Amino acid sequence: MEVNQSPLGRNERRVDADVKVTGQAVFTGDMYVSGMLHTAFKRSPHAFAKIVRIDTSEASKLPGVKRIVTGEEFPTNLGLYMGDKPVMARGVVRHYGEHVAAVIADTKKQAEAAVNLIKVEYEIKKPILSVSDALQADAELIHPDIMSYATIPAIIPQEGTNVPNLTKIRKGDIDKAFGEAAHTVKSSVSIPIGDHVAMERRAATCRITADGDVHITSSTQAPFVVKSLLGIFFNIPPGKIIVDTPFVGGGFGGKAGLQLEGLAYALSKSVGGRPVMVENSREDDMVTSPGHMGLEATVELAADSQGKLLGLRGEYNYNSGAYADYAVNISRAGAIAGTGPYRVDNVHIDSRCVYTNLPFSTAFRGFGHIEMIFAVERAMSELANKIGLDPYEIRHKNAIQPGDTTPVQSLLGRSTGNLRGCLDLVKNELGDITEVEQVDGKIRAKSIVSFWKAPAMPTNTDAGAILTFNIDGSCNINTGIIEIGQGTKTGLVQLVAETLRVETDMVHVEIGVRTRTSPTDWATAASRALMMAGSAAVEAAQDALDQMYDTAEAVLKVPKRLLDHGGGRIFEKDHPDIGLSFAEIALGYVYPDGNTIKGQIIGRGRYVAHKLTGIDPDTGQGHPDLEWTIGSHGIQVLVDPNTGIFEIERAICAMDVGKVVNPDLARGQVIGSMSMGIGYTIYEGFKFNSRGQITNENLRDHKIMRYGQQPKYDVFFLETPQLDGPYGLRGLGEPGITGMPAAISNALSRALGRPIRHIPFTPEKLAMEDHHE
Amino acid sequence: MKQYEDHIQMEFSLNGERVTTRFDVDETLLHVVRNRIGLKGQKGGCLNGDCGACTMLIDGVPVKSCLMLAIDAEGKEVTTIEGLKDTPVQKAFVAKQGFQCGYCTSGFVMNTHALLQAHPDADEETIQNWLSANLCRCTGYEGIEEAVKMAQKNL
Amino acid sequence: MNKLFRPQTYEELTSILESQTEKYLYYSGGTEVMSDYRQGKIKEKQWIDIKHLPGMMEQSPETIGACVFLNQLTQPAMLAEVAQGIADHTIRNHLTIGGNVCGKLPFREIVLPLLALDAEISIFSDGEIIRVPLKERFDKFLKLQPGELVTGFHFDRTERPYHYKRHTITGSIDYPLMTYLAVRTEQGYFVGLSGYGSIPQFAWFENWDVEEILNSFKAVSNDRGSADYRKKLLEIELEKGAPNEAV
Repeated sequence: MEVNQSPLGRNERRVDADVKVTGQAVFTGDMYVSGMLHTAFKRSPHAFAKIVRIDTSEASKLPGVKRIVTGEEFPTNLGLYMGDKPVMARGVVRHYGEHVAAVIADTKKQAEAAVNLIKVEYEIKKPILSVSDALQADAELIHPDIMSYATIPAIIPQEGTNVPNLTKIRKGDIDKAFGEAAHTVKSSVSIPIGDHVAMERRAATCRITADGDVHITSSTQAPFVVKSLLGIFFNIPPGKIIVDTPFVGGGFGGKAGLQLEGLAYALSKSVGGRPVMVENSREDDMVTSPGHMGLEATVELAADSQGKLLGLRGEYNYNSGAYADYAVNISRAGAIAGTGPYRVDNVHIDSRCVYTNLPFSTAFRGFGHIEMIFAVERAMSELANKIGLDPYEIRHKNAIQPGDTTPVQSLLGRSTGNLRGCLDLVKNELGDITEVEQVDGKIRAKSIVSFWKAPAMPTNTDAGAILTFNIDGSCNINTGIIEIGQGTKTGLVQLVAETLRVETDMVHVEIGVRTRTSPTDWATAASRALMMAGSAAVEAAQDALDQMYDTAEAVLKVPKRLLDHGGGRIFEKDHPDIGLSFAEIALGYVYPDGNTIKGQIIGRGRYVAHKLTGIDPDTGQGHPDLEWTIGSHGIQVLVDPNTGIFEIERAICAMDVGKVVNPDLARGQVIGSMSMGIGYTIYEGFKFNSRGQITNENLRDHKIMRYGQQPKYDVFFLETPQLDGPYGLRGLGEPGITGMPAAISNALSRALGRPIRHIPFTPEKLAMEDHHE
Repeated sequence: MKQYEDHIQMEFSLNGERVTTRFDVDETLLHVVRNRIGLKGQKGGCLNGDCGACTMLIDGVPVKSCLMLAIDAEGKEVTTIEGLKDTPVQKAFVAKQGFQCGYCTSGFVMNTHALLQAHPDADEETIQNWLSANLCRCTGYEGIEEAVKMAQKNL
Repeated sequence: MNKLFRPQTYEELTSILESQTEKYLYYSGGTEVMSDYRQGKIKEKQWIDIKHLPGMMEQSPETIGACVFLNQLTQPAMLAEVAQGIADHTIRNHLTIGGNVCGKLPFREIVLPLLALDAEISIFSDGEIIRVPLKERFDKFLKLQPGELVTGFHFDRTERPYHYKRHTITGSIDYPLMTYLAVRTEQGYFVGLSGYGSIPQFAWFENWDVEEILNSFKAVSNDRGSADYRKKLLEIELEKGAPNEAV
């Protein structure tokens, strides 16, 4: 049925389809090693308290209990960009649900029974539960030793505050811009902290064998980060750390960085290296392991009489919760992208990562952009209202173009996506954005917003690919990319098949990653997997072809330049019927007399980010942004103004992705992003009481979208090539979430005639005007 | 009178085969099938009845196996994902991208299979009533919705 | 838990109860108990599985056994509709009517139609089964003496006009912000609410006086919503008028 012969742009069947619909896909929690010990954890019921004493005497008497350990046993601090988190709480608990002790036992049931007998005495402190409280001059310091923590240079902790990182963006002359403006607006928004809710709970196992090898199996998006950080924090030679990752049941950023692996290692070590399984309960997964950041932000915009943006002043205060983890870089990423995809010549942004006594945060789909774009796009809509401009017009007019510079003054080149084209596609679907319709007492309204997202990653972010061959001429791709549901493994097959010019059934791909044998790969994060590992895989395929051409040249006695390949063969351009099949040369060419030459083909491909720099601590100037994925969202809502109950009828996304490798998979990523964005905006977020205890730490009370709540989705792709991406592609896994809160907010605000600024947008907030706005 | 104490033995039918297994009396059906018998297709996404990843069929009726004592399956016919092969539902989930990470998939497939056995012509309201018992975080449900419709056609 | 009894007769149940020295718990569908048990909230070591007692699964014109699952309730329409609002479809395959009435959760929505229908309940009490009007025993929760066990419900299946609305924050699968059931009865109107206060609330009214009905119930403010919002939702439902038309 396929008319498209090229594997690129084709709806190739997922390589993991059959095992996933038969329940055969193996996840970390499914793996059992004989003799494996189980763990359970005593959690803090308090958000902020001094640990006075921990009594484990009764608990340790229970049958099956092997060891009980507390944080004091592990003097190490862990962290990603900032080493601020003990393995388990030492002396103080900083958030509800923090681990204070671990029981290792023969069975999970025994471990849980013992946990119930551990007695902990606390001296309770008043928790700091909002960013604004944490930023008060006299606020208690959640981390008094903030300046002593190890950090990477990009992170700038603020002494004597609850701010582990402050990023400043200074571009142009902001005072002049506001002084000359015909119109200004100021708008504040807020987002609560919340959870990723990957369906697979995080799990990690560790065993240490007699040769000193540390074997970790983990549901991680970043096995090489695990390897590198375990090595640093526990002083283990990296080559002795073997991290295995099978299928991962969703990550969305929550399984990037170091998660349960350090704990699993510490616990295994405490029982002489025996295999230990650490598997979160859903409750632990939500509040003990990190979730996503919150935000309190204010954006001021200055525009001329025609609505051209002159300046943006942004105050982005990201709520990190009790520890920094990825959060210190998320607030930085929000600053780097802090104007949204608009040309703004004068920018003044302070973006802070702020500690509070709420569960801590890590990367989340969109990495700071979803929050920042909500703040910017809400202000854009208020500006459009003030000037009397159409919401489409104001965005179209200010859309960023090649030749413009980003907030950090890096120059956008030819690879810049076509925002105006995306806005046109969304507008084309929705028609007049300003139209408000009355339907049986309900109000139908629409919105359009823009978004952009760049990966925020180390300047030396890398990927690798190794291509080996089988006797039938088929090949095997080995990369460090994790299959978390996004479909990258299928995309890699398509890229390699395209390069080798073979059918996809001649390309096999390894699902699992093992850090001792897979090539190094920074992480399966930042929507970069197919772009970077894809680049490496294409290079590996080209390298393999080079080698096969060498063999063919020797056998056919025709110079390489006169050879071509296709259909699984190398052949003479002039006489296509004369050639060699890949099968004949993949493992070395064997002459009829048995003589063999060249040996097996091993393709090698590498990728490393190029020309990236950090940013200037005073102005933000630099080039940290490798590539931007740009697009537009549109939303249509139907609201009952009396009850506040509303329906999101349509969700539209147009995105410039450079090149669509697999339309169904690409669409699936964008729809998945949009649905998560809807949940984030209208259902989700942690609730807590005045003591900082989370009151919805399960999926009964913390709702995500269910079947039947999905809108009608429309997804459009533009293909302005990313010149440094394989076949022109760029990342698309995250951007589809980034504009959703703003788009929903703007549609609801239009319907109700007042700004809706505080996530989640519950029916009550919409119905009870005086209550919440 | 029947009474069960500590470590007990139970006979039931699992995916059409008679199985005798031993377990502690307080263990859930999910725990016994996964950890005593070793069929790991059904997942415990929340162990609280909220996500549906553990959905098994008892005499053809879907239940949350994390919220049920294993002993409740005594003498009954239990079906897990390992008991389904090449069904229209599985084929449709593949064809229509009814999954991404695959963690919720076994639960969705079991529930959809039971739904279409009970109501081959289920209308949208019925489909929504049944399938809103399962959570998927990846797909946004469009692929699942289309898969159900396709499976209905190919029953 | 380390011991599960599964009595097949009430004589067996009596002898189990007589021999009990420690606290025990009645177990049926498991949907509430197993969640609490996993979280360490249930201390009882001995459970009694009541599903196999005679009549527990009965579905006759006279009786609905206490262990009948919510998905099995079809008549009258108001009972079925309220049942279909509770939990999710899969859970309703093992969440029992008796469990919803007797559980610890504060909602107990199925009580509303049962009260509206003037249901009687059968209770195994002191070795015998007694039958009493539900409303005599239900005040905030079902009043049971130690050892007493609900075995069934008896009510008239005749359809009556009713209005039902279930408001949640996020969608159908959620605890109610307000479940509203209004039923036309011989004497006037029954109005029952769940989720509106911290316990189910209900009352009978001679006339459909919105102000009077609204003031008869006390709304609570909690995580799910404010009292004012609940009051507004109730007022909107009441303003739609009395349930006089047959459904």
